[in-house]
Amino acid sequence: MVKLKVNGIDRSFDGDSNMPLLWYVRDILGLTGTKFGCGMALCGACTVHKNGEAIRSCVTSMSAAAGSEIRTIEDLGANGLHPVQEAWLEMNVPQCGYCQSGQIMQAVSLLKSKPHPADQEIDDAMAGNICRCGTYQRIRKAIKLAAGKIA
Amino acid sequence: MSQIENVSRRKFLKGVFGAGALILTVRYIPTVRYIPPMWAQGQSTNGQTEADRATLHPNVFVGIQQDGTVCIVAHRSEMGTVIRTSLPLVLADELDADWKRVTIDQAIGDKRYGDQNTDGSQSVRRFYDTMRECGAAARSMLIQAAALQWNVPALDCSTELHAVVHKATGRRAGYGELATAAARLTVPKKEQLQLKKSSEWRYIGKGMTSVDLEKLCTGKAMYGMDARVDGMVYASIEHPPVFGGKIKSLDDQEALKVAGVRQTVSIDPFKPPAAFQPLGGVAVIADNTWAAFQGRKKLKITWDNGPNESYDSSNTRKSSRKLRTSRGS
Repeated sequence: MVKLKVNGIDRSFDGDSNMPLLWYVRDILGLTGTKFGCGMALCGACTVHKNGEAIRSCVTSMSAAAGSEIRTIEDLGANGLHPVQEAWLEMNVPQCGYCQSGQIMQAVSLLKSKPHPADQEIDDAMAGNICRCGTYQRIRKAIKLAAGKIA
Repeated sequence: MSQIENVSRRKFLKGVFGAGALILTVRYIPTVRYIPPMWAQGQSTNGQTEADRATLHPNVFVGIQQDGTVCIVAHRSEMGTVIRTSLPLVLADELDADWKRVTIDQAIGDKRYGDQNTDGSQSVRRFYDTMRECGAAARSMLIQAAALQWNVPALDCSTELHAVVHKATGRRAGYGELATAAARLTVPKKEQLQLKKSSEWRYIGKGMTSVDLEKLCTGKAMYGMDARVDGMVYASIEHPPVFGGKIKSLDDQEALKVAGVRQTVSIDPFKPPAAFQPLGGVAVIADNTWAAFQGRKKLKITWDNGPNESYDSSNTRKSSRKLRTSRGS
């Protein structure tokens, strides 16, 4: 039996503890904002927070998530948009949007550890989040805008 | 289908170096001539969409309610190009509608909308004129309705944002107020429509954003794989390793032992030409995606690789190279 907290709610799971957190969140809890891209931690579409830090939920097993606090995109803006989401809207970041839940969760995590990241730091932190529409320039601008909002 | 005209290599090189430009002559020949969907009266409603149910509904793509809400139908599939925004935006522009008062209905598959096949970067090109005409038809009816009420010539009336105005007397009526009266009028013919000048455009070419922007930033946008229905199960398919291959034998006993796996289904291979037919293989059906993945790994399949068994890309490359150096016709 795996116990964990997802978006502030206590949960327990008695299925296969090797199941990646991604499928628990999407299929069992029905939180479909977190996306499946590659299943191999190569694209970042599945990024969620574990105890406040960005992780790839597609390769994080339920046993590895046990006892932690998980936060998904659904909770980020639950009580009004997060400044990163506001910045995303202002900069009109998404095109198709499929990767953006992951991009946003990664950016929130970055700004927590580095409130005013330089360009290179943004590029390094976001390098694992792939966007096929190529919204990288707008993502970088939005992260800077969000940094100003949070400060 | 596009046909590439053969430009002789010599002429081609001459073109490249002579004009400093790359010349590739492609003549585009559509295989199916597109027939625009009917937007004339009588073809307009079956009550499926908000547009159908609205008070004024001159065509299948737009409806105007008495409170002024403009309902526009997006009849192409959204696959990330923001087509759900761009085509309704063209209609709204021609209608002089306030974009903030527009709601968008995603159409289901329906012959009323013509061919809804969304591919090949064709949607704006093929429906740009139709959307403008549909918006212009509604606008024309609203103008006529106002002109009749005010007893002035329609030609002296014009539209501003979401309203018809008669400048000489300063009269104004919102689209919502006019909807009922306009609905009694005949839908104008395409030839009678007066389209806006490009200098009058409000939205086209103005860098508008997706109507789904906020949903895309909050995880609320619904993609194909996010669809959920009651009693839904999940499947993962093991396709043949060679294009056109089929199952020779299947042992799914171990797969069925995986917790959460319900059954396997063999899918027949396509009959050539492949076109858009399924590739075939074995689907593992389970209670969740992970169980389906695990079950799929446990399948024991022997494949008949079919006619492409001996296909070798290096041979194809060699024969292509040979063709490249042979004389063209």
